[in-house]
Amino acid sequence: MTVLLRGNQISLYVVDGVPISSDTWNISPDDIETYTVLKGPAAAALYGSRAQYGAILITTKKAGKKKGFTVEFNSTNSVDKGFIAVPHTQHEYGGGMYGQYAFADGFGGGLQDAQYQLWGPKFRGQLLPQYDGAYTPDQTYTTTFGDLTYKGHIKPEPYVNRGYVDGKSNLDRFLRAGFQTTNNINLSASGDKYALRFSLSHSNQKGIVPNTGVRVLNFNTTASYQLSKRLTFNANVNFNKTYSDNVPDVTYGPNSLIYNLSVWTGDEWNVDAPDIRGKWQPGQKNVKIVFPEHVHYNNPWMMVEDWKRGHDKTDINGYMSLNYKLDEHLNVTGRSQITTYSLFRSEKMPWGAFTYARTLGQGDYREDRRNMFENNTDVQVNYNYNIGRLINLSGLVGGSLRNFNYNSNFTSTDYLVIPNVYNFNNSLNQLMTNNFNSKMRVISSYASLDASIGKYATISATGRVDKSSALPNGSNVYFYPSVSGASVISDYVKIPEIISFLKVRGSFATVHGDATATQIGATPFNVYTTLSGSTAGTLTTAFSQYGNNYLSPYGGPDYSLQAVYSTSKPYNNVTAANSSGSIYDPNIKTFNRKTFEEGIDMRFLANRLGLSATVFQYIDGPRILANAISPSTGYASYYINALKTKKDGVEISLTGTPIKNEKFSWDVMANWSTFKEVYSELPPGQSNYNTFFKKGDRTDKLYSTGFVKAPDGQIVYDAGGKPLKNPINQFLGYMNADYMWSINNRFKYKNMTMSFQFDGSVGGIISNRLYSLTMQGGANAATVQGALGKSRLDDDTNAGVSNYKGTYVGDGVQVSNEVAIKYDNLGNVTNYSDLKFAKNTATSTVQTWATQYYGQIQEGMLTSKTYAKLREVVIGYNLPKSWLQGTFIDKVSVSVLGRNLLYFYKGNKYKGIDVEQFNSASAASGLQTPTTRRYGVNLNIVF
Amino acid sequence: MKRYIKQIVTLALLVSLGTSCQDSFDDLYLNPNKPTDVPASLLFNQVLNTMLESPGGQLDRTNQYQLQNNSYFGNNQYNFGAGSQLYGTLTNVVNMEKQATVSGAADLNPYHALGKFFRAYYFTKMSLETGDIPMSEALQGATALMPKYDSQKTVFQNSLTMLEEANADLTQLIAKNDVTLTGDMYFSNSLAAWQKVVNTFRLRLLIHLSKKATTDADLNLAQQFAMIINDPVKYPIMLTSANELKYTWLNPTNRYPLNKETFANGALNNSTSTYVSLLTDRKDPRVFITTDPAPGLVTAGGSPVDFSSFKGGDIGLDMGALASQNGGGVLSYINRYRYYSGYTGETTAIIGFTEMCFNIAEAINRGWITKGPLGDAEAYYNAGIKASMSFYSIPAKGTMTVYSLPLGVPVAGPYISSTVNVDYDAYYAQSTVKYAGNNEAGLKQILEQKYIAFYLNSGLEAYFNWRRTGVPVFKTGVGTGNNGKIALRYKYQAAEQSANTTNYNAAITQYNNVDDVNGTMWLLK
Repeated sequence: MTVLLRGNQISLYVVDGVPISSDTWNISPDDIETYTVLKGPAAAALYGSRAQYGAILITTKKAGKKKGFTVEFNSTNSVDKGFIAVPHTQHEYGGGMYGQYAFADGFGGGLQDAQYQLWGPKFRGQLLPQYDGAYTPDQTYTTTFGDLTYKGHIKPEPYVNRGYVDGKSNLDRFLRAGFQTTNNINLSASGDKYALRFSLSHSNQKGIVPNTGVRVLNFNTTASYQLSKRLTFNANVNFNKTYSDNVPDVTYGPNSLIYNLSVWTGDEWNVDAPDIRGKWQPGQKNVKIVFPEHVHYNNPWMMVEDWKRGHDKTDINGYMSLNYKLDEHLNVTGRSQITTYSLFRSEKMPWGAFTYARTLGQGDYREDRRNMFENNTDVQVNYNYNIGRLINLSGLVGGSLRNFNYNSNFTSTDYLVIPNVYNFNNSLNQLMTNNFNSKMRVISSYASLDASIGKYATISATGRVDKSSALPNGSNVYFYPSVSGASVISDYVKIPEIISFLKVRGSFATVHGDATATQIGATPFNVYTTLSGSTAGTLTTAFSQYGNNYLSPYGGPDYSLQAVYSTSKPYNNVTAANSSGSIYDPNIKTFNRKTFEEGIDMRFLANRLGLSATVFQYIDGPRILANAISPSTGYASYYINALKTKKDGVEISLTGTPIKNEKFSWDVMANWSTFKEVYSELPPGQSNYNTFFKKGDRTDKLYSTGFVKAPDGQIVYDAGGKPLKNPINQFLGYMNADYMWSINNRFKYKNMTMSFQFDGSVGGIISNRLYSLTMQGGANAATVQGALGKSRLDDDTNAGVSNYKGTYVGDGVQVSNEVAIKYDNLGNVTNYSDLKFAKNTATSTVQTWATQYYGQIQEGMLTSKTYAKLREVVIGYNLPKSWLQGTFIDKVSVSVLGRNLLYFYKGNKYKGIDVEQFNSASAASGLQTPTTRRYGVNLNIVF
Repeated sequence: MKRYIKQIVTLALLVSLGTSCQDSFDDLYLNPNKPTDVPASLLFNQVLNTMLESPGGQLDRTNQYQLQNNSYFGNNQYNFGAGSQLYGTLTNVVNMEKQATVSGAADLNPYHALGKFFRAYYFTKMSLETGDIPMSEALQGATALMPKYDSQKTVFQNSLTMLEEANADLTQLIAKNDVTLTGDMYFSNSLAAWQKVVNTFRLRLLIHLSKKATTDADLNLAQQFAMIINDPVKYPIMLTSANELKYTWLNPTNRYPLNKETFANGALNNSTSTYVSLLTDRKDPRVFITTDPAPGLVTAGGSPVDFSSFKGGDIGLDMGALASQNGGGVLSYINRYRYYSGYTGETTAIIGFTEMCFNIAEAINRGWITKGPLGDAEAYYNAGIKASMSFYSIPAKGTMTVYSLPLGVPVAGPYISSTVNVDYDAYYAQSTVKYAGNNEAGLKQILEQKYIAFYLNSGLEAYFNWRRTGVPVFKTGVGTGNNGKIALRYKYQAAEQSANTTNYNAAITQYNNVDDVNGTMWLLK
């Protein structure tokens, strides 16, 4: 899960004051008392530079003050059903290319029977060789497409729509309702000297993809014991096990169901047909699957029932602390904490499954094991003094030692000898293995001072010194301070009565940090030539051309500031070494971030209406920048301290209570926020950064492939009727939203509550990959409608006619006077005055036009990121106390909830993606599992 | 307050002792997973691997041997982006030399000798693609962050000098019977074999400069060519195809990019008329080996071994038109039996013997030399054609069996096998083939045969030769994009514009201040 705050990802969770590197879902929601989002780097002074973008503070539930014991039972059950956004697909044409299709082996032996798209023949009941046609080696069947005579041994059968049944596509019929159940039981006990809480949660999620799901088991124990009047002992341990036999992989490629079911194959097959459901070809169980295609597309039942990806992660975190109260002014706390996880992931790829770089189709087996251990030990002195009657000073002074270590190993077969035996001994070719180890230590001391000056002001200051082993000697010690102040003006200045509260606040903070990474992948620094992975030597190097390189929490050194050789086996399994592509400033220092924040909080009409406004400025830099340098230096990048960006933002929150009486109340909360980030200082000696960016430019400008435009803005076509692609990437828009908003309403009537929230975002663009793929692949319903649809019929009629040039005429102009278009280094046309334009009249087939327009030019794939959602509706009911009197039950509450109930998005029918899944500044969307609507029931009982 | 200090210090000490620290901060800083030093042979291996330019992709389209018929998978346009970035490889060369010295090699050692060859090879390759490039100030890391560009002439002069030195160094090492080279995937560490490559490559570079033979006398092109050809003892060159620098494909580690697993890609590409017509016009039997007959022409009753059944696509046509022609079955595919039915295809020449024969023939044709040890231009022209024929196992006279894959048959077959008669003398007797003498027509023949022999090997050499001579005629049109022109150069690396701005701007003044793919570089003027 990604938590974005002011456009940056938050990776640090602080549980009961202790920082942990974790996924959030390692803590059961039933054990969480409160979440607080600490914005900005003010958090860093206390929790270190990992909190530079803010942190999420979690307070766990503890036993209450009430003596005796309480048992609480909480159960939530929900169903996921109905997609908020999926592109509408067409159901008139099947698989193939340029209107042609004839099956021989699904491997290219036939006519367009491999890696086809949905540009095949129209379903007209005509006779065509298809995947399930009878194979008769001694008989030849002839099929004709225009000029082409095809001869094969598969008996042709009527070509009809098979996959669109009762108004449901293969995907609709393959996915099912998801189901989630989470149950928690916990017991709290409190006495004079102790408070204990034990909690057990179990959650079972069944995915919308058949045979996928995840279970989560969680134990949490919190104890505190007062050893003496002055000495208190606290301890907490949380154990979490998240495990699944099969998690789906949605990364683009033949490994993804969406790729197989929604993008590249269509109604030429039926997901419920007995042969498809039976998966294996007769006599070839576990060896060869039944499917129309065997290069890039896979039988979905085999994908979910045989091609399994296991995930098993055990997280343990806990702490023990001892607090000694020296006197009423001073207390000292010693605390030691651990965070550790072990992760085991596996992938079983059966024979007969095909994907990128795995073209033999003889399966694979992989194991990925990772272990992380981290210990933070702190000693803190808390103080609290009054000086005179006006001034109070409080705060803490502390020291901390962080020890980190991590190790992982990854092993993969290179195909299997014997099908269905998932063991490394069964590898056909040499095994691929990798291991990785890292260690790190940070010593810190920190102090804070909170001073309050009567009713006039409070001032806080913090300071922290770190010494980190993730930086080179000489620059591994660094200090960062913060200061903040607030004043409740309404406490000491007489203001109009309508204003019941007025507070101003401001803060300044800096943070420095080291060369660490928040996440790590399966094969740091290693690549395998056989798997055609990326060649970047980083912690998150993708080892393979296909599938998802799962990233797990890390928080350790990324070793990015030192030159090492990378090794690989490019030829005949002999090792070769490649030099580092980077050089390093020997005096490189920490990165630098400064923030300023100013705010005002006002309440009116006896606190019935509230306004909170914050403006903030983040100045990032100089960073630790891998600056692109002239490759002729022998290196691609130079690590220096350079590049500054400045982020300005505004956040406004309005709260109001329009109605409030004993029986009924109505609360409203509205939020609005915006930010933008610009380059404020480029690397020394450079007038531009990344070719296109100048000082003052927004950092989220999207430069990518664009159309060539006539002076009047029309798209320029070539003589073949295809839009021209500008040879240089063009500015296509801003990736970040202009602003985000939300409105939450909450009603309370007696024991009933009802709340609902609308939210959304306005502005910003993204290249919509699903739209692009379905348009250029012929799956999108838009390809059979209007002018495109009309031309598609012509294309089908003329399939195989060798001099056919299509009938579709794209909307745009052509250069009519045979003058070559000239461009400057930024792709601007420099000879408009010499060019004459006339309406494009050249015809194209729909396939070639759509492939160029939607496939080759990003500008054709752009989608707005503006959307609105009815995010959540919750209706709750507390059983009246009177009903429970005389029973052993204290409290019963029931609530029903719905999530993602409505989705408003322009052009959702054709462009349908849940843009919210791409809310960060990203250039292009990936494939997503469609977002579903969720309906649930929660039951809470306290005994 | 004071009384607590002792308690606090004690507690702090206890805590810090409890978490003992064994490694120093300096130790912890270092990446334990990766080497900071490696033997020279490992870098040598990397440098050798980088020499291969793999067939089966864009390269074959740039050289106009193959075309794409499905625009989802690519196109045939000459909208060149940045040229090859080989400075990283040159850094490997620098480090290879350093590591050799560090591990105690003598000043004169094979890694240093071959390092000179690699520098010449990679610098000229980049220059051939883009024009002027940084050379004298290059490869110095942070010491020279903005290297100035050297003129293409300087790059070639320096490279020719380095090849002279490499040859001299190798001569000495061979005389000393030096056996310290290891890690050689091409020649099993034979310095004598490398020496032939060095001198053969030098002939290639000299030919690349042919347009400068008269304008830039200081290059001494003809003299250098004559010096090498006339002194085979001092400057040994390749004597047979066995001496070629070539890449041998292996299963399973290094499969030919076209193989039985990637068979489906075969349908996305057709052979071009640029290549196929050269063969069919000359009734060249190589077409039966490299190309499949157009499937529709065969199903319509054509013979799979009739030259009229072989039809390449016009790469200048719009992709839609090519897709329709392919759909109608009138375009040839690459020969699937040779290239797709197994795993190892054919060896891929990097610096070939056939090319050398044609280079010498060209030098004689141009009057740089009058003859070589094999004889006159015609002798070298013949040797080149024959070497190419024998690469495809075509006998000089007799019959051979050829295979083609009909429509609707899987990669495993059955292939159609046919017997054809071949006769080199009859082939050579054709006026289009028989050497027309040391004149324009003869030169054109040399270049056409050279183009045929470059099929799917030697990187961009086929394109470079077209660019230098206009032979054979490359097709253009809407399908090749770029306003109907074949691009003449690649662009500089994107980072140059941001990080080496002044020098970059100076380098493109010769192209009207645009990093223009249609700009004419020095050696083409």
